[in-house]
Amino acid sequence: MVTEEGDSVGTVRARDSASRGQWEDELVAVVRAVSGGLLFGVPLLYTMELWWVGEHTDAPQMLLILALLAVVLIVLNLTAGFRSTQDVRLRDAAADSVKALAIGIVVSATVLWMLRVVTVETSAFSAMGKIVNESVPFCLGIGVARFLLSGRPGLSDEKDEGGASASGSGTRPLNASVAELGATVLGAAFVGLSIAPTDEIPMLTSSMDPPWLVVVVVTSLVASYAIVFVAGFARQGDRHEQEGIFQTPGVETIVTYLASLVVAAFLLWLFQRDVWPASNLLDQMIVLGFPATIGGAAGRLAL
Amino acid sequence: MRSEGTLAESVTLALCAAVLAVVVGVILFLGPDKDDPPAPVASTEAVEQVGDEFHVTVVVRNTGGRTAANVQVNAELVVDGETTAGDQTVDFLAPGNEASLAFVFADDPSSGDLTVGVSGFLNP
Repeated sequence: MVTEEGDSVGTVRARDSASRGQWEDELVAVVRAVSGGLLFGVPLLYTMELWWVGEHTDAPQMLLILALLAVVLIVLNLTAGFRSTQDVRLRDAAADSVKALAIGIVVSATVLWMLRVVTVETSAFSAMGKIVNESVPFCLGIGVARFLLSGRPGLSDEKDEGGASASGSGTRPLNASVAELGATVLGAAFVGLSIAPTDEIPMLTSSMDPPWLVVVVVTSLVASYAIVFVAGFARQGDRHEQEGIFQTPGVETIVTYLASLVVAAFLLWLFQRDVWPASNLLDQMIVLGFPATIGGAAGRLAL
Repeated sequence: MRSEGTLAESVTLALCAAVLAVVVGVILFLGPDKDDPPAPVASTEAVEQVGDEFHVTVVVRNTGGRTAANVQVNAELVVDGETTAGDQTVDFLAPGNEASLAFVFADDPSSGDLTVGVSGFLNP
């Protein structure tokens, strides 16, 4: 027999669970947006000309950039977007565009701060110019996050879970580990190749002391984990359950980060960058390792 | 197709709208007065002896309303009638921003006459 009190407790629990579900869903959507922005925006973050453009962007130009971005984001949200399901109604697309714009600005500001391009000594208006210019690729990345992170624009979380277990169950652990490592190296090399020969790496490194480099390491690890194990719904359920040499989420994130650092070191050597003594090499590996890690995460998603 | 908006979505939307309001506010109200021309000004910040040399830290700050490009900063030290000079270039200096430079002299600046200044810049 179900009492009235029991009924009421059950209803409250069900409501709590549904409430937790909606918050979790929204958090995952935001993480996915951040991940899409990072995948698309990071290569342009290491472009000093874009920082300089921000120094002399005036107020009407900044507002025009934001307005144009909002329009483009509405169109992208109607076709791709950062949610697991597509926005059909214009008001949903408009609401998601406001979120995409704000998330893009916050993420680009955070990464510019992490790279010491924007500091407390930068004037507010100058910092805003840099952030608004850098947020363009970030926002576009957020607008196509579903496509970037699933590989197919029409794929949703629900569809993926069914397909994932079918495709993943037959893979041998060693082969899976080698494939993940290979994809990481390829992805890291793909992104790192265009950044390693530039002067931005030594320039950024020169403004960072050891504690700041630790911040870069931690951010790289968090970004890699978020892209592959939180935001990427391509085979995500399968990824959490895979068996292999390093295929628990935490270990995989660390091992693939180390692989990205090795790729960064190789690229710095390949382009004959001035990296000696060893402490200088380590510093530059860490700074180049951030985009390389994000490229590596994208490589693993493509598997 | 998406379901009706949840409380979580509404809260995120409110937070994001607040972020955008702050951004637009900074752009509209903290912008420099564009009618003022660029005005980079150099000043000596510190003098430090490093080995046999003297490092003079010079800070150049743009107190004007527009960005200055290719800012030429020079320093001149006269000791016992002998002049030593150096110059450096700052690529971009936005309104309110500053750049820190170091000039190296063989003589002690305190024993002579040191002048630092901006000799010119480009309007980007």
